[in-house]
Amino acid sequence: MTLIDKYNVVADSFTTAGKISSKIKDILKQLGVPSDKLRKISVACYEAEINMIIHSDGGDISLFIDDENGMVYLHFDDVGPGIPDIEQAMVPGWSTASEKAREFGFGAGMGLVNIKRVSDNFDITSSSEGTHLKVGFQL
Amino acid sequence: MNIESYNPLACEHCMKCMKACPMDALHYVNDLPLIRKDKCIDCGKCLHVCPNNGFTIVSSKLEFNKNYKYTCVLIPVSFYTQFSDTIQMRKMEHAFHVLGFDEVVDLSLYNSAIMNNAVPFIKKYKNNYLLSSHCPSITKMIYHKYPGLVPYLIPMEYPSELAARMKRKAIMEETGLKKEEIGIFLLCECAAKLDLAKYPNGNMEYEVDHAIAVNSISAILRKTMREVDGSAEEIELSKIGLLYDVKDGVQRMMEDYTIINVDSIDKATDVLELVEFERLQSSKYISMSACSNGCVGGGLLWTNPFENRIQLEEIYKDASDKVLDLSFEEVVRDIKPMDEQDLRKMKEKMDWFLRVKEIREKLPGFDCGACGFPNCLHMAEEIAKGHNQIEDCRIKAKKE
Repeated sequence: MTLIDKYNVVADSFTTAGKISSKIKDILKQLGVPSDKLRKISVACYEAEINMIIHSDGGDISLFIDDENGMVYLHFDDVGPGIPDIEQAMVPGWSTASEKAREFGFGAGMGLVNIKRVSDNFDITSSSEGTHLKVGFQL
Repeated sequence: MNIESYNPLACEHCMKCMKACPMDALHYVNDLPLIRKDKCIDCGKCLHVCPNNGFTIVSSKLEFNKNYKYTCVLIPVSFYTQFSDTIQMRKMEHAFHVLGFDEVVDLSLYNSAIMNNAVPFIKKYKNNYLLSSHCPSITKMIYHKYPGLVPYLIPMEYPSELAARMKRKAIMEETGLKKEEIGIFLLCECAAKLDLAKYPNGNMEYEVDHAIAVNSISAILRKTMREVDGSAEEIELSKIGLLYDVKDGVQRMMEDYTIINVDSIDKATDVLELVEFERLQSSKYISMSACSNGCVGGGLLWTNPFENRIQLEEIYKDASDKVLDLSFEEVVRDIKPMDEQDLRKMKEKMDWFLRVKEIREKLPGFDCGACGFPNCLHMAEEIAKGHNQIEDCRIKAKKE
């Protein structure tokens, strides 16, 4: 598994939300990821990036590729309050997004649900220190 | 590609063209701008930002009509906006007859056939998104930059193709002439449409024979117009057809339907990014033109997009309700799907990406362009290819 690139996410940077996902999308395009997979990865990446911006105090997004097994992995590692009840967070429509986040059109409570829907591997751990989300996509 | 490289005497090396290029298709070689054919989408930005009009447009020539026994010239709606009144329009059509064309064909009629079929198609469309495909520049950009969105392109034919196909057939039946004895010429208001013909670029799949840039004939056309009266010509433009050449034309035909209308490459890029992330929820149909206000803003026209738009509204008032009634099958265009890339090459591409990234990190990141490439990433690629060395970076040289 090769680390392709790593990006820093700044908390509350609503106005630039999606910039990192755009970069990751461009890299995957360059690497020849098929368009149907690209769309799924992009959607997941965007949702997770937004989650980090809204809920965490910042963190990193890393892109890995396992070319032997044809897998793309995205790791989202943040510092922050964590998700107290992951099961609850996976319920469609459940959201703890702030008023400000909602003003920007985020916080519909579909973030994690959508990420799980489009990914092939989904692993999330969370504590009061932060959240680690690992998603994988079979090419 | 229809924008020719540069007149060396005109270049001041200001790099405005390189900075303006949305596709990073332009870089400097031996201190002169060079356009890369495989990346250029003919949006014409370089052409318009150049302070010295250094770029030239590749165009076919009117005189080539002498090579045919029967000739037609197709006039786009946007060209009619260049004339202040019907008398001038008549004179223009008359002038084309004097210049040797047997028929002057107004494209608004063919536009109307496409508009008429596009509206029900958009209404019935069930999938995620639908992207307009009337602007060759935007369509090319989607193929280059957003290959995953190619299946969303609306499969509508270019009006020039439709007109050329129908005209040729009709003329052959009427006159008994052979296919190749009939010459179809298309007048083009922008650099991108010059591609929709066999010549100047050798795109043999098109039915139109020659594409003529509007700006290349202004002198001869104006001169001829002064010598004719135009009284025998009949101008009857189609209202619906006129709407095809303005950015919100489809919107005006479907007032109860939400459509996103954009009229620049930058805005189209923003919208297409959102489409790729599935972030657009309010609208299914996205209408995109590279030129300001739509085709009436074509960069080769004589007057500006804003007044052209106003003039079009004037013409609209007097236009007729006639519509060319064709079935969907007659106006459909085959949208060529993208070839999927070979996944086995992924390792190779990854290694390449990492190598370029490593070199890129050594470069200063000012994207100053002094090396001749639009940004440091581009320069890093050139270094990785072995065409340049890291020492060729001017900022680095200055520091050392």
